[in-house]
Amino acid sequence: MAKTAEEKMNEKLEKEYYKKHKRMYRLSASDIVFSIINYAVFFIFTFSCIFPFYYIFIQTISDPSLVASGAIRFYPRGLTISNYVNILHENQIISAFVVSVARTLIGTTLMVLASGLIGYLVTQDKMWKKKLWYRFMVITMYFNAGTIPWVMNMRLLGLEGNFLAYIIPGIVSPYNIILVKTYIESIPAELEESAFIDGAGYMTVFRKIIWPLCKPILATIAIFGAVGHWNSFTDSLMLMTAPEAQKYHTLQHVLYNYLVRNQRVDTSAGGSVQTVSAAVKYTCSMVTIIPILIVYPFMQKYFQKGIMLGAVKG
Amino acid sequence: MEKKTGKEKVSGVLYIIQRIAALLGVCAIFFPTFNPSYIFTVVDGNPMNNTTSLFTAAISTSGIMSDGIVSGISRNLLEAGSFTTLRVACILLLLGVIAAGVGACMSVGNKTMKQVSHLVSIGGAVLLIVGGVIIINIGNNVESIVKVEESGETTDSVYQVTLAEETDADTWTSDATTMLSQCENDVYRITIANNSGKSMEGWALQIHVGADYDMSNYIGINRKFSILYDRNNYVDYEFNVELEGEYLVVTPGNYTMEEGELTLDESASGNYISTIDAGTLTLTLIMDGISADTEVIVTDGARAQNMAWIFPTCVYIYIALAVIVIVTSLVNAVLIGKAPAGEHMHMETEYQLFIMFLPFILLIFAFSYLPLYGWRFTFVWDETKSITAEGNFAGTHWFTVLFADSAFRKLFLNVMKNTLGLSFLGLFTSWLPMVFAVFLNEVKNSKFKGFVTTFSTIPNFISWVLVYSIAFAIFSADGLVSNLLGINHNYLQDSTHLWLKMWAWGTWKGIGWSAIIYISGIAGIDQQLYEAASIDGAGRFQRMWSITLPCLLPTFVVMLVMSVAGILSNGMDQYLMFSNAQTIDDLNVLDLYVYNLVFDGGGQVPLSTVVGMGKSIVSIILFFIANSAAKAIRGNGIV
Repeated sequence: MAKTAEEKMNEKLEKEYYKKHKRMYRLSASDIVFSIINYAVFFIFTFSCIFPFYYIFIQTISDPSLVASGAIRFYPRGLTISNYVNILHENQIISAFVVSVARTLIGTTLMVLASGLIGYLVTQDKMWKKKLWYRFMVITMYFNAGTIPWVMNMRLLGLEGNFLAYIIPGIVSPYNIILVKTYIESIPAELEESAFIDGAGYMTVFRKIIWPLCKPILATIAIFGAVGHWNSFTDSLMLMTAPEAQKYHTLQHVLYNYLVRNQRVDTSAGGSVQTVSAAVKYTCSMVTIIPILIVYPFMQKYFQKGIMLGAVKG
Repeated sequence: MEKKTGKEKVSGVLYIIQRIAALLGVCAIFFPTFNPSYIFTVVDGNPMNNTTSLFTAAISTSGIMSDGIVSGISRNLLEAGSFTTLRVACILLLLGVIAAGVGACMSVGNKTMKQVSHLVSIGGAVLLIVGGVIIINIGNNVESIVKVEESGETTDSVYQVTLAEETDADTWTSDATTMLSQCENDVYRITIANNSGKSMEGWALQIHVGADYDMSNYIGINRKFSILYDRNNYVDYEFNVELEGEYLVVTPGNYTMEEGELTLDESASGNYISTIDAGTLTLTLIMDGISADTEVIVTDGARAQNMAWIFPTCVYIYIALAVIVIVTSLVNAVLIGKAPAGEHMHMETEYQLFIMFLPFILLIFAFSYLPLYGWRFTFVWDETKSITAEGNFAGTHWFTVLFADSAFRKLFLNVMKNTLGLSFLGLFTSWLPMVFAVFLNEVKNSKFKGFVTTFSTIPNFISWVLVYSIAFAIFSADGLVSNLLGINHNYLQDSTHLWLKMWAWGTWKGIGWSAIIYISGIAGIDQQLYEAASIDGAGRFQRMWSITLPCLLPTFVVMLVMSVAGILSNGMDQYLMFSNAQTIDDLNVLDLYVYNLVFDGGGQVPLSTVVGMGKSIVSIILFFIANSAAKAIRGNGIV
């Protein structure tokens, strides 16, 4: 992040301040020991958050025979992209990748559009029985019928084994709507009022004034929504059980099958069942992680804002 | 406000009646009870599933193919052509309900709009009536056929299906060895056709086998031959497939696999194979483009199942609603009178806004409130049958069985122990993110600080599947730890200190993220407080203890109080990933228990619903308590 002139100025002032009050800030021996321990602990923890990804990555780009013998520990050897080439032939992974990308893009887009519109509507006091409908929506955040009734309900609605099961239930997201609503409430009401005086309708005000102003918060919920879609796998697990629905398995679900299902069979009867090779497991993991890591820098910009707004409203 | 005339009062009441009728219609299309396309049932034996709604039947081909219709067609009770007619009728009914709904929405507008709404409503009602009449007509045709069928001899009972390899011995026996050994967990599409040309498709055979034919190898988790439940066609077949000499014998029946034992549940339903006539059937296994045909000999079984047409009484409900809509619309059209010439369609702002919100209200209803209807499963023996079906009302059985049955009680108490144990472990250590933030604040190098905040939040954004993938890479038998220590130990199957391990994974994943709120909180603390304290001679720890912590405490307390509300919700993902045969006892939390009761061969929908329902109710009570506590602490609650 580029530093603004003001920040630079502050830093300078801070340094001068420290110089002036050097005696007060003189480091004692215990301070130094504390700092060393403090830095070390944080370094170790942060390292533990990065290293596993690196470790899996070097497994996927190293010579498979070396990987199998356990020779790859801290750095890659015998660089190869054969794992990634091989995975292109795994039809299941390719189709799962497409499904995951599709649900993330479509699901997030619809969720953001709906959240913007609903967030705007629930700020309009004129709406018929606004309070009632707002409560009707918010209460669903804290109360649900349970997993199985939900699954049976999806079956009832014909969404079991249907790609739309990923999209439609996620369109209305009360939590994100509250974020948008809170944001819209912080926009000066005069902007809207003047537009109404000029004869604009509600939709015009929404499109021309509210939507552009809400872009920061919409970007925030878009990123959280997208990560949520990408990561969710229980819906795929519970709704796509029929063999015909296998084409709708998400990437996370396929990875789950590779990791858990096969391994379980493995452990119960001494490995007589063929398992997915570790190379495929690792490569599939990388394919699943990489999109998250790619959007991560963009997310960083927004998530501080998101969590603060969320904390305000719960 | 001007006083309403008598006419206006009457039309107001009529509009309310019309809107209620339209709303009822809209709701009815989502309930299977009100699905007029459900026109067949089994008279004796096992009844069919009735879980499709009119909405499903209209929008998806597989939705309309209820058991009744499939069996009806396969036994010539229903011509394939009438299926299309039925589908069209369903679509007409759906469109009719939508139009009536739109009409009801428009009726809140001004005079011009009201007059248009009458037209739309009447149009919708006409569609409803046409659709209804078509369905009644299909019934008239079918009824006569069924009568003939009943007088003739019944050919529809099967209890044994023998799958013999006769046509293509090579494919099935010798090649089968390699073929089968290569395809664990694979799914076979299976087509069964009999010699008169009738066929049933869309079944699947899942075969898990080892490298040889030793049957003892086949016993184990996930190792059974079974023809999977095919939800699209609502065919509930489960077969035991055994190799007997040269033959593969398929016996219909409901098998459950427990602890390596094969037990046959005779009382269970699911023998709908009866819809295939006796005779020789051809069974085709298709896997990766390779197909193997086999002859299947179907013999008559002991029990006959008679199909019968049932009149879809609910079709009259739609027709009645249509009549109400037509009558109210016509009367209102007269009462309202002609709209002033040149008046544009207009609606009051409050209703405009509401109607914009209405589609979302329906979505919320469909996905958050409609599932409550599933709580009826708590009172039934078999969730596939209606609650009013004979002998299906279970009373409070599922509520008491958890405590009355000693095996269930033991299991359930263990689940509660795990749920609460893991939750409290999390609650007792929920101050960790705050401490993380406080100590991170003591790091004066802003670059290092940025480095820590950036990377310690990454684990929060990956799914539990990926966390498990990491755990697998590092702690499995071939993982890094075993590798470095030169041993071959799979820590993931180690059943020691499981709660602590799970807590550690949860903390690793969440601490960096949870700390952000406290880091922001610290940034908001007035720096002068620190300066004043320093001048007064407060050391580093004194400042942390007496300034930073007290400033963060209100946030912490509110977060803690709110997490009490989620004490029963550990989330399923983590425990689903980390549980295996060795660790399930300590990791079986409520969410996972509810899942396992139904999926992966559980099939205990009523019991699972009871547990889930109890959890939901306790959670909402806890939530309201926590909410009032939060209100008391910081002045305003969450809702």
